[in-house]
Amino acid sequence: MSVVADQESTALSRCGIDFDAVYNHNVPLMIGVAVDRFHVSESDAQTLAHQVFLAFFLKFNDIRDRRAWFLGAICNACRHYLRMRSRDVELSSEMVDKPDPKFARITDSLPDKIAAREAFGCLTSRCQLALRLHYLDGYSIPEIAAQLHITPAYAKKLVARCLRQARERYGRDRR
Amino acid sequence: MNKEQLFAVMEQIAEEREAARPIVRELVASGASVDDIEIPEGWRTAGMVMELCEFAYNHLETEPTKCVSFSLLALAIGTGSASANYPPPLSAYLRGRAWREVGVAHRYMNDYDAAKHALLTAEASFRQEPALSDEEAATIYARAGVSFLAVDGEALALTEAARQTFAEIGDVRRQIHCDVIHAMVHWRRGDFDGARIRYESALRQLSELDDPYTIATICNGLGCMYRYLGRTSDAVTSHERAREIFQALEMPIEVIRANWGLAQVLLDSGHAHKALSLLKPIREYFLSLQMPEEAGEAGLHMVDAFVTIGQIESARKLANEVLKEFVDAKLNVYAITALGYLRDLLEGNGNPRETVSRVRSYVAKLQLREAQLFLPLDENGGANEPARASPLRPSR
Repeated sequence: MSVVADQESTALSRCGIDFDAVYNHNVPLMIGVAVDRFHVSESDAQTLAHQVFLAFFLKFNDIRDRRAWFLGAICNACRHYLRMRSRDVELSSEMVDKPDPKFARITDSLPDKIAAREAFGCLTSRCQLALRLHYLDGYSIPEIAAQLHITPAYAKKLVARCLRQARERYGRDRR
Repeated sequence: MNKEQLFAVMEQIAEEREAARPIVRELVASGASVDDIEIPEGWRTAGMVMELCEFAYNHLETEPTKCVSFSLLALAIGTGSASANYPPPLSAYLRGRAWREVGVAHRYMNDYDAAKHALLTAEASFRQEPALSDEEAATIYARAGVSFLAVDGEALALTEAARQTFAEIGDVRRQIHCDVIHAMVHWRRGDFDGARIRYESALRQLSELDDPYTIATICNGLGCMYRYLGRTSDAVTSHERAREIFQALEMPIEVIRANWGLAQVLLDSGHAHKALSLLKPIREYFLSLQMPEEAGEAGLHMVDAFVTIGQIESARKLANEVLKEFVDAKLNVYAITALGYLRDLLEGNGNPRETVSRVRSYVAKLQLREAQLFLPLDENGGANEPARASPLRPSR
């Protein structure tokens, strides 16, 4: 099957590389390695191979030896996947019917999350960053100042100003 | 995700990048600040983040301040809600990539703590996705470059970790980059011959690869090693080769660093007048890029040259200027103390040449080590200068 070759001058084809050929040459190989060497299920192996291919697409210009890169990348991806899987614990039978505690307050938390996302979307770039760093990632004022190349005093003012901006703009958009 | 869906995502990103390219070009050309701007809906794409990051990565040598601004804008978009709409590993990639560019730009601006913090966040982001292990390794390598300036043992451990991943994916070029960091650690430890051997070995291996940037970076480092080892003519040849390559690559800041190396060779071999004529534009260039540490260090080399030719008044005036710049930029308090000592010394009589050299070396070392008190009478304090090499920006 050829996905790209059928279409004329798509943005993908203008990248100057036949991704379809690269896919056909490497993805089956990666799936084979994941299944045979790491005993990953076929469907998960395909998911991993596609994720590796997407990672390749993001930096294809910088990769010199494609085959070695794909092989190394799928091996690392499989190891990572198996490490993650090894931490999974089977649920006891009585737990199966119980709801996930993560969703216990979903009716309260979901609207809050959506509101926060919308409020962030209304802000200027620096305000988005300042509030995200402070309230979501837990950065202190001096840490924000360091990342934004500003003084701590200004960072403090900035956070306060951005909070005001969020209130005003989100409130205005909601009206 | 099946093949069609995969290619649809790739097509979408390729389109987004095409759309973003002229926008970024226009943003750059306009010269307007992008520090606090409204982000139009159409900009909230993976393609825009990637193009902003590309700009930041490619312009570190010429516009480091702008690179910080552009990478922060990429970060604002990359960590925004729109990035969550892409399938894995894109969301983690965008966050990680933007944080990495922020970190590398901070490193260029001598902001090591902020750089390290940003690079650690980038690593954590890449680590979330199994397909991004080489991005994680590249970021670890970048952090090794920053850690080299603080804790060399940590830098060695980090480069070993990165080298392992590069070996697994058959990336010889980036394995050599790790060797370069090792050479720099030897340099920093004062083992110049050990550093020279590693640099020369890396240079031999690189002769088969097309990587002029790293070749030039190594030549610059080698030039310094030859200078310390008293091989003046080899030092000049190495720095000149580095300068030639950097000129061809159109990397002005690296050309300046190569010139700086040459100026130090001239200074050490007693050609203070010639050294001064090279050092003046170097210092002015760093000042124009708002890089006070490098500008100050070049200033101290000029002070050394002035003292050598007996122009004590000019030396005193310049030492004062550098001190003021350090105070204004709120740089290391220990460096300021040392510079204050130097200024006082130049006010008085006596032969200050040895002290100038000691203060210069001390100020340079402060960027590499934990803060330590300046001890003017320490007999070992004025010995070899530490590495003021190119930051060796991370290859992607």
